[in-house]
Amino acid sequence: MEIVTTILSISLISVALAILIILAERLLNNYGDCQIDINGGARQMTAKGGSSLLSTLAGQGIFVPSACGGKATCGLCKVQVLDGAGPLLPTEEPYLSADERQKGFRLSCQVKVKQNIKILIPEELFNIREFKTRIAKIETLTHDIKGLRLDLQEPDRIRFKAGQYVQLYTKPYGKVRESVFRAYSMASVPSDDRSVELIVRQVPEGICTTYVHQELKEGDELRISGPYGDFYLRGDCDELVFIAGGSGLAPIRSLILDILEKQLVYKMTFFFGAVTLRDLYYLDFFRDLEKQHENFRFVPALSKPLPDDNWQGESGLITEVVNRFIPDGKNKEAYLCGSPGMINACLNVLQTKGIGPDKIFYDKF
Amino acid sequence: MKQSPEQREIEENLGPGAFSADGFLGSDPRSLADIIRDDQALVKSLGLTHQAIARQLGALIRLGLPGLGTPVPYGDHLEVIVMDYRGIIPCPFRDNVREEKRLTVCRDRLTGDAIRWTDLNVHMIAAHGFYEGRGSPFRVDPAEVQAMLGIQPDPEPEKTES
Repeated sequence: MEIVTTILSISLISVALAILIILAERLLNNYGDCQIDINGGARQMTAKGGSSLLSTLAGQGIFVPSACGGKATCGLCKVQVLDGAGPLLPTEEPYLSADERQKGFRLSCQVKVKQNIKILIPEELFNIREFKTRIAKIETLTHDIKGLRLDLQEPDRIRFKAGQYVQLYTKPYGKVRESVFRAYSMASVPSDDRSVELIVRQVPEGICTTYVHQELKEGDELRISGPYGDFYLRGDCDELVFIAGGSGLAPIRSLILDILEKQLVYKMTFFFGAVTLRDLYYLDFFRDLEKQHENFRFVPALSKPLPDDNWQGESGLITEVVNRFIPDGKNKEAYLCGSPGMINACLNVLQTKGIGPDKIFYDKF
Repeated sequence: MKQSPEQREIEENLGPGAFSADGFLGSDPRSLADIIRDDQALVKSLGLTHQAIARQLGALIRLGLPGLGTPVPYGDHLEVIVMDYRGIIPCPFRDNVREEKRLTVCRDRLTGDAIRWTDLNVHMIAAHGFYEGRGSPFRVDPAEVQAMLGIQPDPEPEKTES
């Protein structure tokens, strides 16, 4: 009898403690409604507390740029928080300079909304929209690169500058239980405002690129937001140098098409680097453009062509080819997009040619 | 044994769909602690240390980087190819370390044998003694690494952080 009583008592105490923990969790994690004041009262909104500032703002239709999906690895989602952010987290420190910290800049993906909060954000973020799209076309461009054409459903038009990017949102699939988002540059020309073209290279084990390459099919619905980014034409020069590798062709294509369409009078050279012929794509497209426009020169280059490639074009690392073709940096701007290794290597070459850092542009993701 | 919240978070991060599509544990039925312990014993039996392995793998990344995806010769019959991708991946052990998404392959031109690793592998080996679980797409097997690279052991015994 004593054993039964003891077991019963322990069970009751356990149940009571479990209920207490559940109640405490609900009470302690319930931050209630929080006021978000943007740009000194220019916009005010009420949101349920408990989520990151990034996702809370997105829920209110304000999309802060982020390339990593809120994992504090891209540093793009900085906003100035004047009040209510809580202490700076170690995950934010690598991305914030001393000056930024003093001014209250924070990574919005790391700031949890727990109380009323006051923030400052650039006005252009108010123009970023979320779009429902339908996949009109999926094209295999190379063994590891696919092209997507997305028809906009709602809203049905987008305004962007050539070179900007959108965020693509996945749905849970396979072993991936949560939606993630990643940044992809638009390859289409801004005048084609009812659709968006993206170029996506498969990253081994990448969550979003695997979704695009293996899960998506034509006719599927896809959610994107945008436009984002400051990778667009400055044009304070006579000559433009474009350098791309892999899926980095996307924003360069958009820029070149936009410039040609507007009949801007720049002399342009586009260097497109790859290892072997199977890594190149859009060759005929750019060769045709070259034939049609005497101010545009296309220089595809292979660093290690195979004998079967029968390659007659430029050979060597893209840096060597750029070095051969660009005599000096006089009156030139350079626009780069590709892997970090390619960008770093090209930065060195361009600077030795006299193109200063203020004349070289690239996306930092 | 009951896990701490930190350990539970790390194991979740290492699982599929959190930081990579298939995760870092593969089909390995062992616990994270067992995987790390067994690899520690394997590394020791090879006369190596985690740091010596990580150092060599890191050195080969630096050797191959200027090749921008083309093979760079290493030794008599090996070659190193470094392929980098846009983006950053954080360490699943939540130590605020972030690595570029970069894949390095070392291939024996004579036999065709190859081993591959990421920048994140190098960090996880050095800092956490973690080589990933069996069946994981990016498991780095210390015995295969040693068979191909013939790493010289450290002169001093090391303390591991795992």
